[in-house]
Amino acid sequence: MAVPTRSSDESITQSDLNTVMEQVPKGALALAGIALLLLLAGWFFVYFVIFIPRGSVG
Amino acid sequence: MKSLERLTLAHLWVAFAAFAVACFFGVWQMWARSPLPAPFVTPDHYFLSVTAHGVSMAFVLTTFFIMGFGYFTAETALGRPLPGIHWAWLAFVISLAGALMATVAILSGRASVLYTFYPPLTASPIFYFGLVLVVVGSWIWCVLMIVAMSRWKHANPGAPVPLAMYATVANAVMWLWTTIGVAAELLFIVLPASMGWNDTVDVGLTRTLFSWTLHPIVYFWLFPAYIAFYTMAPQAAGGPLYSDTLGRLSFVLLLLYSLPVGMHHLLMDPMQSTGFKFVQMMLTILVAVPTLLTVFTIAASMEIAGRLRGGRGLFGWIPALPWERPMVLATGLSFVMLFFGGGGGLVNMGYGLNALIHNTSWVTAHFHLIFGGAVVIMYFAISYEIWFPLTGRVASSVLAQRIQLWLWFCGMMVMSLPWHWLGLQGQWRRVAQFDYSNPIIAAWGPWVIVSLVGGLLLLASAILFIWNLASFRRRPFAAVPSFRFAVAVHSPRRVPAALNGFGLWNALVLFLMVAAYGWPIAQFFVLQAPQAVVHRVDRGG
Amino acid sequence: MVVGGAVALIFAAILYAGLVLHVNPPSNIETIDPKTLHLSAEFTETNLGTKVEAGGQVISRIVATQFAFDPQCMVVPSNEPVTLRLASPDVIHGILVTGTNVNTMVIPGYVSQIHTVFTKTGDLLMPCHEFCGFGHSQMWATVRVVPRESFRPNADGRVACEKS
Repeated sequence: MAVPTRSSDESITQSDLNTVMEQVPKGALALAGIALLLLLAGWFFVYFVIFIPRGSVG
Repeated sequence: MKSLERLTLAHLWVAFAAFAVACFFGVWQMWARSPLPAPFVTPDHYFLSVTAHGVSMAFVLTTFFIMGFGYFTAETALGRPLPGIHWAWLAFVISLAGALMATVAILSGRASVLYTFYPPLTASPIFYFGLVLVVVGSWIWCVLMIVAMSRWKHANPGAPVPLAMYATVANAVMWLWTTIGVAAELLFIVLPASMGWNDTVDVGLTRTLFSWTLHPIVYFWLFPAYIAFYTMAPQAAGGPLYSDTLGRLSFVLLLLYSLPVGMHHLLMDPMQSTGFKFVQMMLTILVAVPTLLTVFTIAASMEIAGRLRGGRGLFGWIPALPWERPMVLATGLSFVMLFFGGGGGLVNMGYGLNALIHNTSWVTAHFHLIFGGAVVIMYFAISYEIWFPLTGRVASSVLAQRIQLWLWFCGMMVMSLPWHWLGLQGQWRRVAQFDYSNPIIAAWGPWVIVSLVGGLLLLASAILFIWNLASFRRRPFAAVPSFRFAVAVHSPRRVPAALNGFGLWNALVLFLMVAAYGWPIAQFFVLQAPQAVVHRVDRGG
Repeated sequence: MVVGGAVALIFAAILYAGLVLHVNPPSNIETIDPKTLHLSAEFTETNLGTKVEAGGQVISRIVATQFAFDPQCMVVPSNEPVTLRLASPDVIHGILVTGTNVNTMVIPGYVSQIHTVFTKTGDLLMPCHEFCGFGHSQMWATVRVVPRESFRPNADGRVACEKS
């Protein structure tokens, strides 16, 4: 049966939130950091392994 | 049903009708390009299809969705009726008339110039005039959004404008700046040429003016997706938004840096100097910053929600999230596509690196992933989310919504990842039929077929999307609670004036545009480059 | 902080390539009248294709029209600097050469110029990569990269593909 996809946040207590906020944003930093590293690695790969060997153009 | 709901729904249905038709054209195009025999393949049919597909997806789906969602947001986030709703209906009629005019011109074969127009190739004036009307309707929308926010601020002095509305108005302000380029191009150069008042056009100037619009328009399309990330996804996941301020900052940075960067679409053009190309490339890197900020802020918001649900450890919050909710699922899938699409984009803007992939299938892969994928999947999720307050009816199957979203994601990845590889091999764009007897091209054949399979998955997803929306209608009316946007962990009581309005940012945009585009445009009036003869495509050309 | 570092890294790589390796996008801003291209000294039909100029530079001149390149086949030497110069009398075209970084738009009103060095020998595909009208799909040329010994200009300094 369908449920509206928003949940009410009255059930979250301030103390729950405080506990959780001690950890946040470590996970987000880790995830975003890994994504950024992968992006950079990919970019440098394309740049130095594919692009530069194909010759100079100007 | 109240007038605002009807207004929003009218816009959304026009958007999705254009979208569905465009999906059929897209699949046929991929079939035509593949080694498999396809029906009706002639160059004029192919380029008619590409024009129809591009105009529908890039101008109709987007503009109408954004306008409709904007009206909904204005009333819902601000908690007061939309001012000037009659103007909004007028805008709808003007834009719809324009879209229909352009459609007639395209389908009758008189406008096969693609959605990016390539002067001196020139189409029937009905085509251009139709698109001008679509934009004029959207300008009325912009004014209404600005008026709605400013009246709310007047009635609530010192209070922070709700983030969803602040972002919507940022988009409206950005769109007004964005359309200057294409409006100048159409009104002063292309329309006069298509009416026969000029025999020649300055191609360098025309392309440069178009590039002014071509980059920020994709941010215009992207804003609703980001609005959903900040103001709907955290709520759906069951937690608060990590930071309201970071949200405002991201939207402001998008406004500032999406505009003075259009030249990265002209990196391979001979009429602009390395100096300005380099400057605009540096500014382009800056426009990646708000996206990185957004990824972080939304991940942090999801982390709060996941940890509240019991997730532990560095990444345990990820599986703990309520992935069965379409808005949460769409956000996750969108981020994956944003990663690949954004990565491709970093290659595109890399100054000399652009030569590796300009006008190859790599570019096609990039914008299908990032717009067709990351952004449009959020358009679906937003629609599912607001359909209940709009129509008062509930979804008949949330499972069907999830299936539709997964199909879209899988289809988009299967279709566009091979295009990256093909682009590096040199597969070039806008080809009706490849000569597979050439050994270089023959090697591409199997990957083209793989892409086609991805396209078929997308078409199935598009049909399921329309079905899902239509099947909302079959349920009995239920009581409609008022729609709420996500709240932040620390809801601001006051925000700095700079993050509650746009005066400062407009001044900065003006400064940036003069610096980045001033000479690149002015040079044409000094250089007086020889003009090219108008080539009509609508008179048996 | 981290984002700033990433941004700086990418800048540095691009600057390095631009200044040290001379990798730049084609940007010479040189105008030419498309309506009289065939009457110009440089892009007249008999001057198209590859020619070794008086100073030893190898220059290949190509005209892009709806819907063919002139010449359809050109010969260039490997491992030597080559300059490509392109112009169009009609609409926007563009070229890339497969397996290389040669890529440029050809805009009527301007001459496009690329300096490059071809390293691999063989027949490379040079399609028109920008939509130029209904015949766009069939518009391409061949770039034949030959080793030094096989690159033999005639008395005028010109080299053309052998008719087969």
